[in-house]
Amino acid sequence: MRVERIIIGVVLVGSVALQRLDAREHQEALALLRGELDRVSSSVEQLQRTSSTQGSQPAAMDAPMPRATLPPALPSPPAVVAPSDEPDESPPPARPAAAPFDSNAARAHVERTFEQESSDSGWASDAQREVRENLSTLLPSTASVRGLDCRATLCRLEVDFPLETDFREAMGRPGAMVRLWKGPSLALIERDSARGSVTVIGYLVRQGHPMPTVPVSTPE
Amino acid sequence: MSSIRPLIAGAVLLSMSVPGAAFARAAPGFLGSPLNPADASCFSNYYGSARNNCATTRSWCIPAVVDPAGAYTVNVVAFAPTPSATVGCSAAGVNDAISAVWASGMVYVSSFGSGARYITLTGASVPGNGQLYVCCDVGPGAGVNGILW
Repeated sequence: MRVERIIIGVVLVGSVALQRLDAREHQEALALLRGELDRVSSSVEQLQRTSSTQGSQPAAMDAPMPRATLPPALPSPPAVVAPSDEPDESPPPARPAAAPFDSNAARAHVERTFEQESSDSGWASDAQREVRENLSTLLPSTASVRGLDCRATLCRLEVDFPLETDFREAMGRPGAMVRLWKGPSLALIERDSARGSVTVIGYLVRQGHPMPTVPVSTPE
Repeated sequence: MSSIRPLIAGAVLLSMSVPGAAFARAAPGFLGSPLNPADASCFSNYYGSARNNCATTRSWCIPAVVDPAGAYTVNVVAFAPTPSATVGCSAAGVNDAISAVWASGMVYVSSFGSGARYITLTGASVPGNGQLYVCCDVGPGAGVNGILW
């Protein structure tokens, strides 16, 4: 019992001391801020007095406007060698980190969108030609293209790899899909453990078009 | 004249209380690794940026830590001083079994210069328990400064 009281006492004293330290830091920061605020206020007042005086003396309008006295700048950290001497691009606006995503629903939606899509014969034939050309350099001779069908904004590609090693060689690395297709894509990789084969079903999205997403239903 | 003081104080407090819009996460380029381990000697760490010092284009991949599943927009901050030293990237989200890959398209920088260039990648979705990463083709003399998402 006595030990418990001592421990509780030590914890209480410690927490009070920490709080006082924290409060002191806050007070110091506030005092600095107040000082800065006062200096800025007096500068603005001086600027206003100057401009009002000039406003009552139109003849003096051509005289240069005296500069307001700015507070002394705080010492800046040591300069780092600037890695660039040209202006940067403006960063894109920040967006919410992630939109809600249901993988199964999204996959089903892409498949359904493809099935329901009509054909844009011009784009479809160009896209098929491009995919076949890229496949000829990407795929090993053992792989076979089971299907390639393009519609208006989507293509569906199905490739069979008899051996896992063939699949890994051709498409088992990050960025494999962009070697095949420059637009957005969804690749579904299905393994047949009995045969030892791998089938890749790819949905390739026309460049400039987004991946079809499940419409968000709004509550009424 | 005294009425100006509360106004200034309010403005200062407001500017302190409203944080600037920012991305949820950022990571330096050198957090990644070369797609081909043999290319490791091509890349150097320049203030956290991964720069390609070899004479040909090499690929560099960076993991992007995600918390919730979702459709992510990843922005790559690139160093692409000239058209021959360009950078193109794609982002991909995979599920836990790596049996579904949601990839953005390949997007290259749209301008060149020694300042920061931004590449916006959309279409990479991460299913529950999945992962997100970015891979870039980095031209000779170019680099990946970092990623934002």
